[in-house]
Amino acid sequence: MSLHRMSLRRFGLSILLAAMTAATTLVSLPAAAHGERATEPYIRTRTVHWYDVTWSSEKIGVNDKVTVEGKFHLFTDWPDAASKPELAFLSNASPGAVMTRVESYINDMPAQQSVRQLEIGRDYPFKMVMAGRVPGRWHLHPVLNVHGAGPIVGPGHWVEVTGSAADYKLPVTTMTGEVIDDLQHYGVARVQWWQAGYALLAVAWIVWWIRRPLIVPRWNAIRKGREDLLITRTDDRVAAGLLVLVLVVVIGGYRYTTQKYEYVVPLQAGSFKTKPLPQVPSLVAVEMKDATYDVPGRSLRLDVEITNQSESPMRLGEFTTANLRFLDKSLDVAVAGVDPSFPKDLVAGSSLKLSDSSPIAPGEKRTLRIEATDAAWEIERLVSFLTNVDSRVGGMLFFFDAKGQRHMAEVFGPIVPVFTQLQLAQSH
Amino acid sequence: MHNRTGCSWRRSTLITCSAVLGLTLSQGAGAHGGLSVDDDMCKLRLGPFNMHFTGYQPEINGNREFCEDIPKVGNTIVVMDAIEPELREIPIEVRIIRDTGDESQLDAVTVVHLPPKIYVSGSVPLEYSFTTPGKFVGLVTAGAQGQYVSRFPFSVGIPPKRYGFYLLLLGVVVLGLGMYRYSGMKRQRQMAGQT
Repeated sequence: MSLHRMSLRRFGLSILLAAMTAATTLVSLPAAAHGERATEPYIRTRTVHWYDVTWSSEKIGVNDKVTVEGKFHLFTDWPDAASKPELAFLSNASPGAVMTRVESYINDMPAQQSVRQLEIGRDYPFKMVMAGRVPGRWHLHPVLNVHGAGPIVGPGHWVEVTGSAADYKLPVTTMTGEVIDDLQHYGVARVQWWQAGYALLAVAWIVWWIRRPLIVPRWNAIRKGREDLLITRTDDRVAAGLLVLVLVVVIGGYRYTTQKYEYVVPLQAGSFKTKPLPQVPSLVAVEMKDATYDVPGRSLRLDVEITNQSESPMRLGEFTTANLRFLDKSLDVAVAGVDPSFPKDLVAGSSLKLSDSSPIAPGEKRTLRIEATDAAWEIERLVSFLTNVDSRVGGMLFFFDAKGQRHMAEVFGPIVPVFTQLQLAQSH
Repeated sequence: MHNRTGCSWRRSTLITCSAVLGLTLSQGAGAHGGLSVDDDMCKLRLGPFNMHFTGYQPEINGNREFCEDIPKVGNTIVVMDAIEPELREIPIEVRIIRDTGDESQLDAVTVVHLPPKIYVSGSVPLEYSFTTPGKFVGLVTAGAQGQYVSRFPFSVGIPPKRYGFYLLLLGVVVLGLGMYRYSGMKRQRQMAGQT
């Protein structure tokens, strides 16, 4: 067999293997979401509880702005397996850079940097202003990235961006008064030229050495005491020339940059600290006695002992966890608490079921069964807490007094799965 | 001799590549009618909508879930969860019938029937105790006029044929054999070239 034919076959085999690799890696379906259901339920139900979240608009043009704001509560029963929020960063989850985050705040303080030492058990208001960049229909969430625990995603709402991506501009005026028409392309070509130049030098240096016999012949030369054959005078001259060239480029580039840009600010890598919202005295004490998840009934059942420590009768109006909201639909003030912009798919279709929905009198201690039933437990992939080593569940209860004032309380504890008779489940 | 070696080499390469290709591209799970595994979730297609299909046999498998075929006879719970919110606003009817091949007398072959009902919670649960192994068909209808229909045949108590596992083993053996033949022939060619 001729060398030429062997080479052709090897070439053909290589092409075939390359095609197979491409088939398995390149032929893939586009992602329908961005992983908001992928986070473990123990993180979604027991770390950051987002509430009062609103979106200022459902439809914006390119360059127009949408504001996402609300509050988040850091849960007391924070799981041991997740790092505490010692360092966190407020961000947004959307499929790629389809929107630009132009402003962000935690407790009215600019949050372009990470925030440190957030206090567990406390609440923080947040706000993000996003500008439309790429036309399309995008799912927009607030996210708190907790160092060591990962991104903890808030509720997501579909926002449509209309117009043309070519019209997008991000103008900036620097401290020296220079106007940059569009920050998204500013300096990109210069960066690419520098990278290409250094890459060219690196490739030339590698080619200079690998064009000669490599490891084994060189090792043999060393074994035979002929190191003098490995590096020639020409190699020395090339190396010295390259060293001088690189240093000249670095020094020259530095001088040019400092002359052209006299005032520069380094990338800001620090963090800031902010206070939580003022702590409101808890007027409702809640203690979980028992919790079960009815697997076929898609129902979370909590037996809780509630003590009304206020001077007003209280009614339970809402249970919320992992961005899902279960409302007592017979309580108008609870239903009215759902902003029209809040995503409908995160509000349970059926009402929160209570064993006794009458107001809890001041000073009264009552044991209540709360049933939160919806297919969302499965669709949102929230029931794997049943197979976790730390099978616990947590959430927030929203009580309303006679004046319609809201009072929040945490509820948490261990949970076990049960299979009930379906007659009971079907009655929901 | 030269041609025979070339043919063998070509054949073994082809077999090897076919085996590798078969292994790498065998990702799609088999589907039963309107049921399929999609996005890591067992889904029932109902016109433009989807439902999450989950089966349980709590007395036999605890809270272990299954999709499509029911592994054993006994008490079985099936829950279908609406993925799109629109499904919570239209009536859904569920019927499980014996797969006799004749559906002209539907009531006669029906073993479970949930009449049309709006499920606000989005979950449609049903429970039935299968006493004998066999083949059945699930019929799910949605919409005011029943315009969205999903039909999925399934078996009860019939162990699945695990061809996939044996095919995987066969693929690995064929892959090893192909590489062995290829390396042997390559060495022969090198020796022939040296002489």
